[in-house]
Amino acid sequence: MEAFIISPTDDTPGVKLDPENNSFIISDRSLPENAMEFYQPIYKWIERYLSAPNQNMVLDFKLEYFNTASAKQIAKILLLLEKYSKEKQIAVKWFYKQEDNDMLASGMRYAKLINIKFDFKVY
Amino acid sequence: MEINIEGVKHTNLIKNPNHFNIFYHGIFNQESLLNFISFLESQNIKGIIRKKIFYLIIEMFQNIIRHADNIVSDSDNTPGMFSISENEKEFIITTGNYIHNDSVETLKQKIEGINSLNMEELDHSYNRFLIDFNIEKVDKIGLGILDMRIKSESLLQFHFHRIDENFSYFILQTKVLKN
Repeated sequence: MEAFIISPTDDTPGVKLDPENNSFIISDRSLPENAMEFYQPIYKWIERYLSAPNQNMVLDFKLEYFNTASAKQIAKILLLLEKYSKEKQIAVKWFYKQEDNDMLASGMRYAKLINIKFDFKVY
Repeated sequence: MEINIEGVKHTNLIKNPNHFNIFYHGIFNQESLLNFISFLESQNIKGIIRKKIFYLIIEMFQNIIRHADNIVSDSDNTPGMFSISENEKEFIITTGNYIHNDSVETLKQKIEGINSLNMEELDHSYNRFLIDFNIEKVDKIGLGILDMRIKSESLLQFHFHRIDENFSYFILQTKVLKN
């Protein structure tokens, strides 16, 4: 399956979903005005990928900021991963800066709500 | 003094060595938000508070972009106001925008409801809005305003000023303690 790559902008995240290198990451800032429109192709790509994924998949979130509209779309992606995690080895790595308690709290909230393996990592 | 950030005009910055006060009145769109953020990043706001303020600015600014009603029907940009001020103990973020009078009561009840919740209840409510994708079809005022209340850790201050038989002016304010 071909990689899905979007370069970051001032208000949309960098997205790299690369099965060949088993590298999956959403990074930088996510503040789009229309988060649903931005995340829809990402969601669709992951959904297609999960029908025949690699043996292991770790989706990295390395976000600096995200707005609440993005928070909902991230939840939607995580719920999709949860659905497939019963059959596949899927995990999430949630990056946060040491001083960024809000970003850590956001990750912990998802980890509590969504039944999937979460690792937290300071960067 | 009046400053002119690219695309962000009518912005007044009153600055002294310790505090700043910024008032913006004009076009509310994604471009003006990004210019606003870029300008604020150049200011000397440090530590954990910086992140908190930025989160609030983004939510409150986008709240105007999404939900404000336009009093001038042929304008494609929603008019409103946005201000950030600082004193010894806190940052104060205030927004103002027009809304239809028939939306006032619902919004008032929603904010009062959110203000009445304790942190545990806010957390529970936020979780519900986060993963329930049907809830916003019936309740459009949700995650953003809950987030403002949680991130600021203070009650949301608000006021509705009736303009005429169609519109009111809605003032919303959050405060973030420096310590």
